Amino acid sequence: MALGRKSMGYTAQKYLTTFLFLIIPVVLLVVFTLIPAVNMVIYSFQNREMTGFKAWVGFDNYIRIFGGTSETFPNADFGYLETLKNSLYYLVGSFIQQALALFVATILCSKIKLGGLFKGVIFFPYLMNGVAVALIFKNLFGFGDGLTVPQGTLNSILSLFAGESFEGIKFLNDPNNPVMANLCLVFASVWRYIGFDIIMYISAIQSISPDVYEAADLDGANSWQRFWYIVFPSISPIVSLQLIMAVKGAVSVYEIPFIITGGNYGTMTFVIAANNTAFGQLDAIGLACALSVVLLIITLIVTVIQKIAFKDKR
Amino acid sequence: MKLKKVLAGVLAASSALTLAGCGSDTSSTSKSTSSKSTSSGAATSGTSSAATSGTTSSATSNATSDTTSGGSSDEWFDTSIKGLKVDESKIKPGMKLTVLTNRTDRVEGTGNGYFKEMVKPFEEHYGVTVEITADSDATAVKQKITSNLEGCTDVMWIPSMSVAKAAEYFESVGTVGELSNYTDITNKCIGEGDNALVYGVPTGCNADGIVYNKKIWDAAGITESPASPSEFVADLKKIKETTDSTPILCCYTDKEQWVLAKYILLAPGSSGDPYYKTKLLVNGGDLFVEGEPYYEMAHMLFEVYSNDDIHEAGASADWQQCKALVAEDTVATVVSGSWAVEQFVLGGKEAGYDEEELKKITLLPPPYTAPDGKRYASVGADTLWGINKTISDDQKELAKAFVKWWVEKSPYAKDEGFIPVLNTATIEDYPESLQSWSDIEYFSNAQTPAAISTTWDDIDKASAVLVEADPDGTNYKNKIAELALRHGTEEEFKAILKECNEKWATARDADKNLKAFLETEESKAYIDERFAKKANF
Repeated sequence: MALGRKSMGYTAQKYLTTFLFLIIPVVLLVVFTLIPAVNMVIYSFQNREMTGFKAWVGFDNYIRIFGGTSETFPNADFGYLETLKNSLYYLVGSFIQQALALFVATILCSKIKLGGLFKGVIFFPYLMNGVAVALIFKNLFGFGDGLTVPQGTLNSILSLFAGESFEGIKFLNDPNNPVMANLCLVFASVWRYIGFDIIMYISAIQSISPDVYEAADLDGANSWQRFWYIVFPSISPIVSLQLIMAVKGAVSVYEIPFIITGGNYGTMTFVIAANNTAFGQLDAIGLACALSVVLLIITLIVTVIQKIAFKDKR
Repeated sequence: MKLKKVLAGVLAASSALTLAGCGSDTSSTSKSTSSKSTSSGAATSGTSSAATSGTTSSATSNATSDTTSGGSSDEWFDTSIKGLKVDESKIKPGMKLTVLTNRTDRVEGTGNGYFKEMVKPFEEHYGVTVEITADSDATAVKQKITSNLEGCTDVMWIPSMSVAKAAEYFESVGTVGELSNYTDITNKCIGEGDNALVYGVPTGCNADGIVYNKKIWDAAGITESPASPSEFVADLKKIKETTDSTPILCCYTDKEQWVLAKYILLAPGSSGDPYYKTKLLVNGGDLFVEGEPYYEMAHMLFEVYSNDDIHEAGASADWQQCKALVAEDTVATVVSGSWAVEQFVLGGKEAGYDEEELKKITLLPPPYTAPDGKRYASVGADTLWGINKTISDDQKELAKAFVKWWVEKSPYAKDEGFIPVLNTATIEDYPESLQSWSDIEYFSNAQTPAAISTTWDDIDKASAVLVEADPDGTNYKNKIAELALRHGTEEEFKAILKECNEKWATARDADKNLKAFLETEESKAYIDERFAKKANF
C-alpha cells in the first residue's frame, strides 16, 4: 500500500474498492438480465413479429392468454392455460422428489460404507447436460415401428420377459393415453434433479451440531423422533426454498418434454407453447413475451404465499 | 506481496478480456444441417409461398408487346425473354458476389459442393467470383436480416415474411409486366397489375403432388392416378393387400410434423382456380366445406391416419431413412411435393441403388377432381432470391445478373428436379416425374388485389388457425392426426374443422382491410357461387 497518499481516507477507499469490484457483475446483470427483462415487458404490450414492431395493442395479449376476445385477437383461446394442467404432473412429481431426497439424504448422513461414492453417483445426473439426459430417456421409452425406428430400450427388455408376441408399450406416443407420456417425462425430470436435492439436504443435515443428537440420545429418543424433532426443524428453511423452486420448475418445465416428445400427444407445456408462439408459424413475439410475464407473475405469487405460510411456522 | 498484486491484476484483466471476447459478433451463416432440414426449409418457405395469395399468372400475361427486355444485355442472355434488366456496363471483372442459399446440401462443407461447379460459367463470363454459403434455418436468417442487413450477403433467399417487410430489406428488381416470362413472379410484389414492383425472383418452381414408387403401385395393379381422396385411400388399401410394402409413410413425429402441412398444401392447387383464396375471402365462405379442396385434403389426412394397416406413423421416423425406404421398395408413398422427388432419388443413390431403377420414384398429381371435372395442379415458386438493399449500385447490377443467369441459363432446375422458372419452357424441360401427367392442367396462382394482399396472412395469424403452416403441436392438423391415430369418430373430426371455421370467420369479419375492400367495385369481380354457402356440418 502506498502510505504516502493521504488524499483518500480509509472509508473512501473501502467504498471505491467495493464499487470497482462490483461494477463488472452489475454491468453484466443490467445488460444481460435487466434490460432484456424490461424489453420483454414492453414487448408484451405490442403486436410484434420476428421482423419487427407492428403495433401497440395494450393488454390485448394478456386478454388473449386468459381466454377473452379483443380487437387483435377476435377468437377466445384457452389453449395456453390448459397447458398448465400438465404442470400439475410435474408438481406432484417434485413433491415425491423432495420426500425421496430427504429420505436418501438421511440414510447417507448416517454411517454407511462408501458414502462418498454414493453421493458422487447420485449427484452425477444433475451435472450431465440436460439434452443428453433427455435423449437417453427418449431412447429408453421409445417405441419401434419395425420400419425406421429401432425398438426402445425398455420395450426391448420387457419383450425378453413377455415373449414373442409382445409388440411394445407405447410409452410416449400413445394417442389414447397422455397420462402415461406425462408420467414418463416426470420420471425423467425427477431422475435428473433429485441428485441436487439430496446434496442440499445432506449439507443441511450435516450442519446440525452433534451435541443435540447426544442430548436426544440421553433422553432416549428413537430414530423417528430424532428426525422429526431435531432434523426437520433445522432444515425447514431449505425445505421451503425447495418447494418454491419445485413450483417454479413445474410451471416452466421445457427441456425434457421438448426434446423427448416436442409437446406431442398431450405433453405440451406452457413454455413450449410460448416458444412455438414466438418462433413458430404464429410469429407473435408480443404474445410470447406476455406469456413469459404471466409465468413470472405466477412464480412471484407462489413465492409470496410460501413466505407467508412458512413465516408462521418459524 | 507485490507479485500477488500483479498476479491478481493480470487474472482480473484476462477474465475481463475473455468476457469481451465472448461477446464478439459471430457471423456464421452456414449451419451444418443434413438435407432433411433442407427439405423442411424448402417446404416451409417454398410451397407455403407458392400458396400465399399474391402469385403471378404469367402463363396468360403475354399480352404486353414490349420487346425491350434488357437495357444493355448482350447475346449471352436471350433478348427475347422478358426478364430482369441488367446494366452490364457496371459489372467489372474482379468483383465478388456473395450468395446465401437455403440448400445446405449443395454447398461445400455441409453438402456436395455442387453449386461451386454450377456457377463456374457465370464466373467465367464476367470474370467475377461468386461465394456461396448456405443456411436453411429461416428463423436465423430472418434475425440476421432484421438486425444486420449490411452484414448479409448480396443475394439471399427470402425466408417467409410479408411482402411489406420484404420491401424494406430487398431491392425491387422490376415490375410484373417487365418480368412476364417468369413464373409466379407476383409471389412478392407490391402494387397493381403489371406495374406492381417485384421483390423476389423464384429459384425454381414446384408442383404439388405426392411422391410415390411407381413400381409398387404398378405391382398392385393400379393403372390410373387416384382422382379423389377416397380413391387414394382405396389404392393404398389395395397395395397393402396385394404387396408386402407399407403403403404410406406418415412420418408424424416431433421433428417431422411439417409432413401434415403437405396434405393441406395440395388443396389450393387442386381447385383449379387461380383466385381460390381471394374468392374465399371475398365471398365470406368457410374454410372447410365438404366437397371443397381444404376439407377434402384434411379428410384425406384423417382417413390415412385412421387406417392403421395402411400406414406406419413412425415414432420418430427420420426423413433421411424415409428416402432409403422408398428406394428399396419398402414404402410406397410419401406425401410431399415435386421438389422432394430429386431428394428421394439422391437418397436412393446414396443407399446404393442405381439411377435407372430409381426412375420408379415419381409424383402423383393431387387426388382431387375440380367441380368442372378436370384435374389441376398449381405451379408455384420454391424459394425466392432477394437482392440486398444496402449494397452498392454496381454490386446490385452484378446481383441482378446472377439472378438472371440463375433463372434463364443455369442448369439448376434441370439438375435439381424443379420446374423451370421461365414460362417459355416446354413440357420436355419439366422434371421427369411430371412427364407422365397427361391429363393434368397446370396453372399459377393469380395476383391478389393490392388492397388485400396481406389479408390472408393477417387473418391466418389473428385466428391462429394457421391453415397451411407447419403444425407446432397445438395446430388443428396435430389435433386431426392425433384424433385419427386414436381412431376418433367422424363427428369429432368435423368438430375440429367447425372450430377452425368459426375462428376463421370471426377473424375475417373483424379484418378492416377486407371490410374496406368489400365496399369497392373491384371486389364484385370475385363473387363466386361456390363459396357463398356456409358450412352446415
